[in-house]
Amino acid sequence: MIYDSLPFQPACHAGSGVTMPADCAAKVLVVLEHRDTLGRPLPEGIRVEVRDSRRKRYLGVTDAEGLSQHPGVIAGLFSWQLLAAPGRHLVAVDDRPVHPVAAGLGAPEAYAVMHETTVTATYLPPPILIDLHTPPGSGADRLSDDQLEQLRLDGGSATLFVHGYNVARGDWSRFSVEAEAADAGGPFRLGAPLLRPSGAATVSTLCQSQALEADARGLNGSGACSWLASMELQLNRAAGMTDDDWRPYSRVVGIAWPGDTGSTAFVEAEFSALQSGRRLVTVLGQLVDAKLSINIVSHSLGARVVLSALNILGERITGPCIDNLFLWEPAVADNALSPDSPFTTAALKGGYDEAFGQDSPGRETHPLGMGTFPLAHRSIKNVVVLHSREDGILGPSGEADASAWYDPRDWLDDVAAFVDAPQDDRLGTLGGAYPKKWWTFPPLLAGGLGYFRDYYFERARALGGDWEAAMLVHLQQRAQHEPHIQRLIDHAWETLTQAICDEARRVATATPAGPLDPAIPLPEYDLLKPLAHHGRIGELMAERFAERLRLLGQRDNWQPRDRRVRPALGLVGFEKMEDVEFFKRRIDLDIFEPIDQSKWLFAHSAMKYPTEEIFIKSYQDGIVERIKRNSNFGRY
Amino acid sequence: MRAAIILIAAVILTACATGRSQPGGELGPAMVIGVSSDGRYAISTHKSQHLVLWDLQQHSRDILSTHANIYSAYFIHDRDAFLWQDLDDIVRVQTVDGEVLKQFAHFPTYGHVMDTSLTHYIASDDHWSLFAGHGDEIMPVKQDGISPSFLGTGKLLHLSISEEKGLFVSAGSTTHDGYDIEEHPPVAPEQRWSNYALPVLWNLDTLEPIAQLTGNSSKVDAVISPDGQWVVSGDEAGIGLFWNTDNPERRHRMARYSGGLLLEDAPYGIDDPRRYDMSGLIPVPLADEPDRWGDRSVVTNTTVALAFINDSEEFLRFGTYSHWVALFEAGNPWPQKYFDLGDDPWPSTSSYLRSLSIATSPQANVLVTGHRNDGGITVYRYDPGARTLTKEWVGE
Repeated sequence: MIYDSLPFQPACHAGSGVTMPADCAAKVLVVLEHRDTLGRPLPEGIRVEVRDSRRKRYLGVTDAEGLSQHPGVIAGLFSWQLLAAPGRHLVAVDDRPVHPVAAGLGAPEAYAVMHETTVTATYLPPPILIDLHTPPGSGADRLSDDQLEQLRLDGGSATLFVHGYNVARGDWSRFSVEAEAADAGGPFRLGAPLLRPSGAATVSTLCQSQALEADARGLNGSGACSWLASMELQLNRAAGMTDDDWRPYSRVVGIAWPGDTGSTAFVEAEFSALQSGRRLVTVLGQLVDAKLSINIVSHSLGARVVLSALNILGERITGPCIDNLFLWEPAVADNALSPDSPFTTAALKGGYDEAFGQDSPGRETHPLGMGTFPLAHRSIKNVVVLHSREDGILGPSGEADASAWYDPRDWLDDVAAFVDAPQDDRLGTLGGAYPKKWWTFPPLLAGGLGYFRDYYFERARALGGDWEAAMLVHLQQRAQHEPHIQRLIDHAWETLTQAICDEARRVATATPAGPLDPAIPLPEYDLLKPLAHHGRIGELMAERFAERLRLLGQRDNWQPRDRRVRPALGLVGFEKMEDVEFFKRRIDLDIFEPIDQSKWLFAHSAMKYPTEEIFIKSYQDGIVERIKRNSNFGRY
Repeated sequence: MRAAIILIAAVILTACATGRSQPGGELGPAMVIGVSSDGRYAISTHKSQHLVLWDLQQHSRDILSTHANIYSAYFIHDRDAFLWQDLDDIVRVQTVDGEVLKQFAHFPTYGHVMDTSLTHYIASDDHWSLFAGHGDEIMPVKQDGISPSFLGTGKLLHLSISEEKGLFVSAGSTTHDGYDIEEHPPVAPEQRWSNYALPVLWNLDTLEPIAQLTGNSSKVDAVISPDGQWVVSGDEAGIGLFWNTDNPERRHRMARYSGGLLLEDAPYGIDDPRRYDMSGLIPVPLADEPDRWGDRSVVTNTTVALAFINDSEEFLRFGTYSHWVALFEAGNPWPQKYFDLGDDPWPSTSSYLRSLSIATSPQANVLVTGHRNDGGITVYRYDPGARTLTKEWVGE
C-alpha cells in the first residue's frame, strides 16, 4: 500500500524539522507529476482534480512538463483524478506499482506534507484503436504523431490486432466492482476511498475480467474494444507481465473494421474486409516509414483485412516489412497466400489459364478472383498459421476428412437447429458455416454470392442510360425461348462490362504511371471494389474481372457451378499445400509455419477468454515466444 | 450340486474380471509405449492411468498398475526391465517378472530415460527442464526457461539415448535458428524463453550440449540411432532433417515425398526450380478416389513421430493423422518405400501429445503403436530383406 511507505504519518514535518499534528490545518502545495510508463509527461492542459481530507476540491491543469499544481491543500490525506484523459490508467505512485483497475474504482491517495509535497503518478499510455467504421477521408485511419511516438518509445515496435467477422465497433466499459482485480488493493487507505472517480476517470480500456461471461456483463467493453482489451492483456501476460506490476504493459494497435454485417452475410463481410484492408495500408505505411518492428495478429476474417493490405504493400515494395504475421483461425482459403490469380502474371505457370492446373491446390478458385492475395507474401518475413480441426465454424469438428462437411445436405440438416439457436450461436450451430459461404439458398438464411447481384444491380441502375439494369438479374432459363429478352440480358451485361472497363481506364488516366507512391492515396474504385486488394487495377484486369462477373451472374445465377470453396486455412493449415511449389519452398525455409491447435482450441473464438491451456500454448508459446525471437513486443 | 454352483460362480466371476471390467476401469488410449530390445514385451502407460505389460509373443497383457503417471513408460535397452512412475511420484525400475531393481522419489516426470547400466537417469518436467539423477544427486541439464514447454506445445520432450556412443537427444519444438551453446548455456533458470527446446545432441556422460540441431519448425520429433551415428527429425510443417553425429553442424534434408529435395546451398533464388532435386523420388501411393478438391494423396510429410526399425540402418516416419508411413535409410535423403498401417484400428498418429505411443525395437524389427480411439496396441514386424511391414497382432 502506498501509505505504508510514506514517512510522515501520523504527524507531518515542516521543512524546519518541527513536527506538527497530522490534522493541523496547515496548507500545502501539492505538486503532481503526471507521466506515462514510457517516461513522457502527460500532455499539457489535462484538468486534474485534487480533494483533501475535508473533501474540498482543488483544480489544476497539467503544464508542459506534465505537472499539475494544487496550492492550499489541507495537510494530510489527499486524493486526485484526471478529469479528461480516458485510457490513461494509473499503474504506479512514486515507485510503488498500483493495479490500474483498483485505481479506477478508488482514486489514488497520498499524504500532503508541509509545505510542499510532490507525488509522481505513472499512467499507461492510452489505447490505440484505428476505427475503420468511420468514412474514408475522415483521417481516422491514420496514426497520429503522438501514437507513432508512443510506439517508438514502447520498444520501437507495433503489434496490431485485427478482429474477425461480425464484430461491431463497440465501446469501452466503465470500471466495475465486479472486476477480478476489484479487491486487489487500491491505491487508497483502507475503508472508503476519499474520492470516487468520475467522468473520464471511470472509463476502463482494460480487460477487467477473463471470465467467459465477461461480455454478457459488459466488463470489458463491447465489440472491437472488448476484443482489443482482452487480446492486449493476454499478449502482455504471455510476454511476462504479472498482475503485481503493470508498468511494462504494452498497448496493442487495435483495428476495428466494419465486418458486422449480420450473422449470415459472410460474403458481404468479406467484401467489407477487402475495403478495410485497402484502408489499413495507410497505417502499415506509417509504421514502415517510422521504421518500427511490425507484428500482426488477426482472428478469423481479420485475416482477409490484413492480407488485402499486405497484398497492396507487396505490389509496392520489394522487401518484407512485417516481422511476423499470426493468422489465428484464419477464415480465408488455405491457398490464400498462393501467387495464383487470374489477374496477375504471377499465376501458377506462364500466366493464368482457366484449364491449366485446375486441380492444383494452389489454384485460385474464387469466381471473382477474391480468394488469393498473390503478392502479400512479399511483405512478410514469417507467417504463422494457428489452425484447428476442432474449430467448428471453419469446417467439421472431429472429422478425419476436412471435406466431410462440404456436402450441402449436411447444411440443410442443420437449418432447423440454426433457426432455433440464439443469434450468437448460429454460426456454430451450422457446424461449419465457412464452407457454405457461397450458397445462396435458402435465401432467408444465406445471401452467398447473391450479394454481388444486389451490388451491381444498384450500381447499374445508377449508371442509367438506355438499357435495363433489371436484366442483370434476369434468369437465363426464362429467356431461352424469348430472343428479345436474351438480347436485353446480353446488352445489360455488355453495358456493365463496358462501364467496369471504363472505370479502370478513367482511374488509370488520373493516376501517375509507375509504382504507386506510398505518399499518395490509393485510387478509388466503385464497380471494381471487389478487387480492393489490388492497389491499381489495369484495363486487362478489369476486363477479366468483368468476364468472370458475367459468368457468375448470367451463366451461373450467382451460384458457382464449377468450383468449390477451398478449405479454410484456419481449419487445415498448409496441409493440402505441401506439394505446391510455392508453398513447399516457404515451408521448408520456415517462412510459412503451421501450428496445429486441434488438441486445445475447440471453438473458433476461444482465444478471447482463453483457458490456461490456450493461454500457454497459443499466446505464450505460439505467438509471443516467436515475436521475442525475431522481433519485439513492447519493452519486455 | 453346491460345489457345482460355486464352480460356475467362480468361472463367471473370473470371466468378468478378465473382461471389460478390468482393474481401474477400461483402458484409455496409450500415451507412451516402450518396446523391449528383444521385441518380446511392450510396456505402456495410458490416459486411464493404467500401466500395462504386453507379451508380444504370447499375445497377452498384464495390468501392473492403475495408478501410473501416464507419460512414464520406458523400456530400458537390452534389459528385461522398464521404468515407470506412480502417481505418488515414485519411479521404479522393474523387471517383467515384477522384481523392483530400483525405486526412488522424484518430481512428476514428463518423459524419462535410463541406460542399460542403470547409472544414467534423465527426466523432463512439465517445463521441459531436464534433470539428471535423483534425490540429493539431482542436477539440472537443461533449465533455461518455461517456454516452449510440455504445457505450451502439447507434446513430450522426446528423449532418446545411444549408449554405444554415449549420446542422447532431446526434441520438443523449434522456434529459432539456433544459439551459440557457449554463449547461451542450457542452465539459466532466470530466463523465460528456452533456447534448447529444439532437437539437441547431448553428451551422455558430461551432460553438456554438443550441438543444437536447427532447421525444423514448431512441434518436432527427433531420435538418435542405436549406434549413435544418426539423428533424424520430422515436424508438423513437414520438414525432415538428419545429421551425422560426427559432424552435427552439417544439416541434411530429407526429400519431400512428392516435392523433392531442397538443395540448401544451391545458389538459386527461392522460387528457382533448380532449388529442388527430384531425381530420387519414388511413386507415392494414391487414394482410389480424389477428394472434392481433386487431391488423391494419402501420405503426408507432416510428421508426428520417427522411429528406427532396422538397427541403425532404417527408420520409419509417421504422418500426422495418417495411417501411412515412409521408410528411410539412415543417411539417405530419399524415401524408400511407403507402408499402410491400416485404418482399423487407426494407429495413434492423430495427436502430438501421443507421439511416444509409437515405439520400436530396432534390433527386433518390431513396431508397436497405440490406437487412435481405444486403449489397445497394434504390433507390426518389419522384414529388412523383403522390406515389408506386417501386422502381427492387435492387442485389446
